[in-house]
Amino acid sequence: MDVFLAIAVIVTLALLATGPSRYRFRKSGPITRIVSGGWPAVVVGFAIGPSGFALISDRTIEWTAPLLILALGWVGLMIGLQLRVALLRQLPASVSRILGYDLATVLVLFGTCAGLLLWAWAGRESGIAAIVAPWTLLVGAALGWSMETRSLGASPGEEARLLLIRLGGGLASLIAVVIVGVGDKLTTRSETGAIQFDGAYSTLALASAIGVAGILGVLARYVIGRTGRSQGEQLAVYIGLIAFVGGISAELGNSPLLSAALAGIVIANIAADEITRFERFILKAEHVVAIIVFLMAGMLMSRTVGWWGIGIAAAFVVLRGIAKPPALRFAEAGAPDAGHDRSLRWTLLRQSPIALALALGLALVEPSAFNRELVTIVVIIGLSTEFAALFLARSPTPRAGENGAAS
Amino acid sequence: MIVRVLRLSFAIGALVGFAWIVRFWGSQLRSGAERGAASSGEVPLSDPTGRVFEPLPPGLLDTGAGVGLLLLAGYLAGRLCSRLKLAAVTGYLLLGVLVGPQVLGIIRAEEIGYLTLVNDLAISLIALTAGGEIRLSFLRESWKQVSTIAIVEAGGVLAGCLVLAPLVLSGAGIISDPWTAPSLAIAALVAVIAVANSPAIVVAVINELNARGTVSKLALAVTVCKDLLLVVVFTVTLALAATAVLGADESAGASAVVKDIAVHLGGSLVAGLVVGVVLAYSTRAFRQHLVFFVVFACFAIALGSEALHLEPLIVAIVAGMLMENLFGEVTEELFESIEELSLPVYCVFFGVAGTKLDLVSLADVWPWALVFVAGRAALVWATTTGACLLVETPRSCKQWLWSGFIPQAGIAVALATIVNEQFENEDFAEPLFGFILAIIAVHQLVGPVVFRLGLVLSKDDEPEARTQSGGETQADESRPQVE
Repeated sequence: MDVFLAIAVIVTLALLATGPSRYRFRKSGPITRIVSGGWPAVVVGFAIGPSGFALISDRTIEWTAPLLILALGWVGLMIGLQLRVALLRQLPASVSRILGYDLATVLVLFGTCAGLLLWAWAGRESGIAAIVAPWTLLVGAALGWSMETRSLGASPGEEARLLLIRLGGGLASLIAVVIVGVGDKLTTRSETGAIQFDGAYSTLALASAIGVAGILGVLARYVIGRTGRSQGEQLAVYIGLIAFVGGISAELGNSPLLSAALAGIVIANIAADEITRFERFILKAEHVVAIIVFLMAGMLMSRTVGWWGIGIAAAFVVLRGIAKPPALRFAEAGAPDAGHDRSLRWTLLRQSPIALALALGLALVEPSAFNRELVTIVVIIGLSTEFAALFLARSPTPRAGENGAAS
Repeated sequence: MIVRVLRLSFAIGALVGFAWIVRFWGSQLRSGAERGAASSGEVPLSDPTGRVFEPLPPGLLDTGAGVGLLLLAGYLAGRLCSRLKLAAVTGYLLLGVLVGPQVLGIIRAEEIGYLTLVNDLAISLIALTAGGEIRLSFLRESWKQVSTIAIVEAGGVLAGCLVLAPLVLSGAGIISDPWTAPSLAIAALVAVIAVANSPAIVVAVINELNARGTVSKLALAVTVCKDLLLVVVFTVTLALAATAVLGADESAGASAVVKDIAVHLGGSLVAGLVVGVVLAYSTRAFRQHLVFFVVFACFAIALGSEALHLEPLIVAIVAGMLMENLFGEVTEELFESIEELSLPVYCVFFGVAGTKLDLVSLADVWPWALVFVAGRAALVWATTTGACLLVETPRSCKQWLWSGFIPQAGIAVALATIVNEQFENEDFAEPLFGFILAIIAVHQLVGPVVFRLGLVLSKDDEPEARTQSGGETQADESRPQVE
């Protein structure tokens, strides 16, 4: 009964949040753009979850794990399908520069900060192995930025920069998924339950994740090729694929995001014409899946995050403010400054929504209080940077004909 | 043809084989404490700050792969069966048997509980479809045929099985003396369950063939009417049987039974009307994500019915009938979305049903189960053909309508479960439950094949049959074919 209630609430809110009226609301002003985005879903999730009014219990949230696996598999495939080798070859040099800059600053600045604070918070008692997965999560979540650019309302001359923001953010998401997926497999639990390094296990687990993703990609390609044209057939095969890819990874103890993303890469690079329909299907439900992820993040938030958690969140917000805005200028070094809108660089402050999916993936495999606090930290960083970008970036004027959908 | 069959078989084999390897290799790959904690809960797991937490229940994380396998391999198995001129439903069921706990064990017993969440979604969806297929214009024209066939067939099967069941149950060693009052009461329950049909299988096979002729329309209408009737008959029979077997003290009183029926049936009808109106008026608001809206609506019907102790099947059938007949234009897109969802839902629903097929019970009592199945089939044939002779029906109905009343599935299992719960402390309860499940298993596997054959031989799936049966609407033409 509770599980039905949880699923019913999640799906209803997802539908309401993605209805056409919400798009109209989004266009009406800068604050409402945030309010009508995914963040209210986090607030609603928190309110109905165990840390809020407890309408949905911890046990019920656990029971909705298959729904989360499906959502994470969906996100992973969406990321992986973008990575076509043929397209990568055509990427401008500025994308490599912005990615290189971001990766370097995140590993050095955010990595050091996260390492020190996590060590002080939990590592002193439990050892380095215990903080490896949380560290990779925080680093992965810090990578990239929000790829949503439509609501920025930039002038027509800014298309190339907006494309750079989207491409850089998209590729950074994939790197983040890989970092967190690998980080999660670097440690394991011993027979006594302690977290420890185990090289043999890690190598085998990672090899299996890659191998399984490869096989899944080939199988998926085969099945997609044999799918009929009716909507019902496509629905059965596509949902089946997403559930199978996400479920198989979860069963092996791997991140559904990583395996799905790797399978997506394989599908994208060996598939023929039929893949377009699959891609369209995946993108069609993007908003609904996003809202489900936001809602689940809200439900998993914890009130016991404490000063360490708040400290990490505050440090990361400040670091994003320092490190992210120069990325755009670094990527465009040497290019003539033809009166570009300088305030656009502040939009890089906004945390990538993939960060929430990454945090949920960790909390899904191990539903511990600590992992829920990590989800809370990621949510705080996301919300804070969203608001900060709102006030620092230029107040936009929506372009004519814009429907407000996220890119 | 042979190449295509081989290709499909290979693809199913590859998917199932891959899932099997991952399932058994995967459990080895998980770390020691994960395995220990998941299996026994003996190893306490703590997070980096030292706080202990409970891991997810065993089987929960594996559910995603199970659903994926039932969808992907089920879809291919359905296509394979279609190529072999069998019902696609048979493919889903057989795949469920193959991957279920009794054969390969890819889907384990503890996972089935999580997968049955899909059942509630599926039952509402199937019932909405069934309701949407029943047009008032058709009922107005054919109410004499529908009511006569329903009453004669249900009455005939009930009467015949009342004689057959004591003999078979006695032969199978479930009851000792077949002609005592308690034995007859138990036999009466088996006979009532034998009347039950499966709207799910009927709708699935009709959709698969896109059959819209008289045989399919009558089969569906009679099945739905019989199910409404069955709720009343079963409740009364169960109360009488409880009095005969357990004594008056432990059974419910007559007034309670009447009240129960009134609330159950009347409440479900009223709720169905309300749900139908609400869905019809909400369709436009959720047009952008109608498929998700349908999923939500089906969950809401299941959730609401459970909370109000109503029958979700009746609620959804009434809602579907109301929407089709009063809000046809508004809900056309909604029914299209329901039809889009049908195939994936059938794959999982019938796949899960396959995983639950009790092969052990069947192996124990199969000779007596087969005697009962054969007897019931003869009764269904004789009573349906007789009823068709009594009222004016096309020749195809006289020859093949009976095939629609062979399949049994969810409703029969639900009734058997209620009987098992009512008599759980009695010695005969467990073998009786096993025997009924064995019969349902046979009907579940054979039923779709027979009904498909009936529809094909009666040419109900051909375009001429639709025009001959009349009542074809624009919505019929626009609805996409499932298979």
